[in-house]
Amino acid sequence: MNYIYYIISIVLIISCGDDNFKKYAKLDSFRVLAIIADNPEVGDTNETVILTPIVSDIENKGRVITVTVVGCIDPGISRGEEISCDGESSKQEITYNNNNPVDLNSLLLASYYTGAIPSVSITLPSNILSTRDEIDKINGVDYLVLFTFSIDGEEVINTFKRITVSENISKNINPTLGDIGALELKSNKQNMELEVTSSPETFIYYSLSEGQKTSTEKFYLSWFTSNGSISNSQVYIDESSVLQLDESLPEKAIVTVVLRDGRGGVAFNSVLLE
Amino acid sequence: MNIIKALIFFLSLISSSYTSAYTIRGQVKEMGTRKELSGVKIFFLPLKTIVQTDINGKFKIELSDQQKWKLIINLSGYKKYEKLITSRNEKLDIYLEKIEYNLFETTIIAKIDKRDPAKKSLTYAEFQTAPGAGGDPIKAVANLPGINRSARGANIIIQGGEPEDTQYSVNQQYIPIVFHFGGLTSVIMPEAIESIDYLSAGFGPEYGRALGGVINLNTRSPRTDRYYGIGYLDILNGGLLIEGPINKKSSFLISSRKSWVGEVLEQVAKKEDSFDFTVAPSYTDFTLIYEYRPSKNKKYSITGLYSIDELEFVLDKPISNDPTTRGDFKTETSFNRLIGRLDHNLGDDKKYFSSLATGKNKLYFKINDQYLDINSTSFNFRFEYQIKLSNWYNYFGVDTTFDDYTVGVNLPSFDEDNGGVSNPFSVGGSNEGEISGTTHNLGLYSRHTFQVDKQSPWIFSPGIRLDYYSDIQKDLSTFKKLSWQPRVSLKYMLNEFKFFKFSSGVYTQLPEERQSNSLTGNPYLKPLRAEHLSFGYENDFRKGSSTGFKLYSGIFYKKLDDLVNTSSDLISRDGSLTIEQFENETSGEVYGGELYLQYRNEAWSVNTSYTIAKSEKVDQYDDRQLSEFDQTHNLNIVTSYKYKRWLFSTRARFVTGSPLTPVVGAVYDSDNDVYIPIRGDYFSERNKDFIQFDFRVDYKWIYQSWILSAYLDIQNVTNRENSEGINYNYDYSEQEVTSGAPILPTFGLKGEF
Repeated sequence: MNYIYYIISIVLIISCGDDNFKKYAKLDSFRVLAIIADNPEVGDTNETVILTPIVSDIENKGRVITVTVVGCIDPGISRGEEISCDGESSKQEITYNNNNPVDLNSLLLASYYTGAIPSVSITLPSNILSTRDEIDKINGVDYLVLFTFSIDGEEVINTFKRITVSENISKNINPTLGDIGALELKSNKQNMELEVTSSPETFIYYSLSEGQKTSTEKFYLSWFTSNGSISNSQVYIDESSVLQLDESLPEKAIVTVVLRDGRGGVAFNSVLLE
Repeated sequence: MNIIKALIFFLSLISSSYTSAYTIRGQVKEMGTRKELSGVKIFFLPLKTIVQTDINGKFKIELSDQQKWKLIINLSGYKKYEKLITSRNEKLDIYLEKIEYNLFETTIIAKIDKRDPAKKSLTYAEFQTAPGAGGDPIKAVANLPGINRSARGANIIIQGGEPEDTQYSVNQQYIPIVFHFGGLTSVIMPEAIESIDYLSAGFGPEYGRALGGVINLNTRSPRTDRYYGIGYLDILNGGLLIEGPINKKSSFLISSRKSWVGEVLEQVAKKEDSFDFTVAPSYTDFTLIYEYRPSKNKKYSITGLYSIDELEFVLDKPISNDPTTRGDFKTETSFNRLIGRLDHNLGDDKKYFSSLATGKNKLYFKINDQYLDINSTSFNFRFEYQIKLSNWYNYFGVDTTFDDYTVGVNLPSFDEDNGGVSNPFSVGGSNEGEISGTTHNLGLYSRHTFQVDKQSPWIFSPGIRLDYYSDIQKDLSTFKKLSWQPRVSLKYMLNEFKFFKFSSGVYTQLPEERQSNSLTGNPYLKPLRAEHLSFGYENDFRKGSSTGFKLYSGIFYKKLDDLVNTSSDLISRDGSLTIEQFENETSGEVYGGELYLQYRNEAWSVNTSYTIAKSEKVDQYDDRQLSEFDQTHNLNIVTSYKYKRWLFSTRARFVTGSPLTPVVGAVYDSDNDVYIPIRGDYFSERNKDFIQFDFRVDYKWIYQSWILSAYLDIQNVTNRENSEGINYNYDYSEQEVTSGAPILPTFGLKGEF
């Protein structure tokens, strides 16, 4: 009973008084916006997955970053376990970009220092599911890929991507995005519109008491801007967001959107306003 | 016949015309309460003729008309009453005004069962007049030593334990909650309560399934002398109580309360465009007491309870570090109970009570399309037989519970061992399903209190409690599931008002249902276990008078084992690997000291309670850390001053800031678009110390047949911003302190008739 009051109080506390904080939607210093796996869900047979990070480093006009990557079976992040592969028997270290740093300035100059950086390929171990119960086989077991982004030898951002390993016949695939609707470099409020070119998938999952059930994905958008602000920057696709650039307009600005399907599927697009 | 009637009428006319006496009759009542005052001596001057009121406060006297008579009543505790008798055959309704009226005027004589030295009890008169509690019994208990300052709706936390370690009961029958919304006000109207028992470290075998202690509310017997009512309203809630006799052997009491705190908050929330109440927070409670006394030694009673707390709101925008946590939030907590009880006194040496309670509990919680829905029907039976054999008082009891439950859940698996810093909800893996079943828990106890004779200073009381929990330790035999819990207390009386006490025992408690069910938990969990030691000294310097000091001091130690923690270990169960979810690998220690000093005289009352304590946990990795509810110093000074019909009261509190886990970084969860905090050493820092001053003033207007009271209660008079936690931005790189309630004035009116 107290547990519920505790949750509510957390929600109430968190939901109040964040006006003074920097805004989620504002792109400035180095940031990871998404990691896209070519196959967000795979079978339990030594599958290889290609992961592509989407980053932004506008404030510093694209610095040189180094990236280290390790992978392991999820130690239990959803239950509060430390986000680390240290000590995990399934841990594997993965070479990124042939151990070369990435110069964001040259790589992302054309896209205002925001976009995809070199991908990394990971081969998952097999037999992850062999001893698991039916629930895990259907709902899947996550294989974590941890990325550490460093600049000048200092860790800047740690992030991870889950790859779901399951015995589902129909595996999750990434959603797809069309163009971002016409936006201009102007100070007026502009509705942000987006063409989503795929539909939410229906998928099977295992209820703890009722066996297999079906559900449908719910697409979720995250909008970002390098200038001004966005009201409702994190919305479901049927909800609207509004861009408001600063009165004093910059030479250019970038608006970026990431679409997530809630099961690891991700799509990304951006538009440069000049 | 008509002639005889005419003759009688004629004679009576003559006698009244020529009599030499007044006939004065009347009734003496207490002003305001209409209480009939018996045995009151009424003087008629100048000849000092005296008449005394009967059991109904009535009197009748014949006085000679040779004098001018003056009626005088000079009753102790009441203002002097004088009246000139101006006419013959006068019928007088005399209302005596008390010199001093209590905060509320219901007179309740509570009999406190003193068998358990670990028990502290507050009677109605004590908790109603306790400063800083606003007449609420549980808030009054919260001012006693050993009770932590509660935050985040944690109800009552006893001696550094966990909120779940405290058990709540009404007339010794379990109830799920004791406060509306975790701390707003008690779930029973205070005027329906006779006394409240608070049992802390070392409590006896009568209670089980609690590691920390027990809060038990005893409802009172309804009035049998007259009808009586109370109605009150303030800006947060209102209530009504009516009671009275049904016939010579039975009586009833009905009370109900309804809040409108939600409507107040709704107006406040309207200013915040991202936050809309759909059902404003509200609570309602209802209490019914029926009592039937067929004989002096037998009492039947039925107590009905109903309580519901509801809250629903819409969060239009996502919270800063959890984009999908928004939409509909709804919670409902409700329970009802029907408690039938028989108390039968079989003579000087024997008596028993038998009590059966049944009712439903509901807990519903929803965030958007995720929910938790727990419904259960409870049957609880209690029986105690008390017999004196030689110098032994023996108590044998049964305390069993049966529950028929259904749990529906579609919630993320939360990280509970998180140092008070939660992961975003969207990180938790989904748990969806429904489970139903029955559980039964059997408790048997015996206590044996020995005193060589009435003059002996030593009172020795060994006891034992045996608990059986059906729904945990799956696959274990019934015998191995039995939990034996020896308990003992020892009292050394220096005199009637001064004694030392020692108590110790073993205690077990069920894991929470969500931790032990086979759906989302681990049905192989063991019961949680504690060992208590407590030593205390009490001295009532007043020695029976109403003025002076009363002192209690003590130390306590609690060793906690088999506490439940989350586990992500993959274990083999039913032939396949599965996540363990929970295990019994955490232990803990709590130790401290308590001091309670009370001073009272006719005008002043000062209660000082101080607790020093340390509460630590040792996790599954053998790391020792402070408990979330550790409070090193907890000082409460409550003062009241009575002046005529005014009552001024203040409460000053100083409490060490609650432990806090620092966030030292964050990891970006690219699938859920949230940042997961990286925690520093758990509970290695603290919130700022909590300091608060509260003030309340009450005033009474006394009318002949009713009393009107008005009060102004101001919480946090200095509007101090007490730190209750830390709020972070989306990536945990910025933070700000979350403050507790600001200055909160409440004005209310109360009528008694």
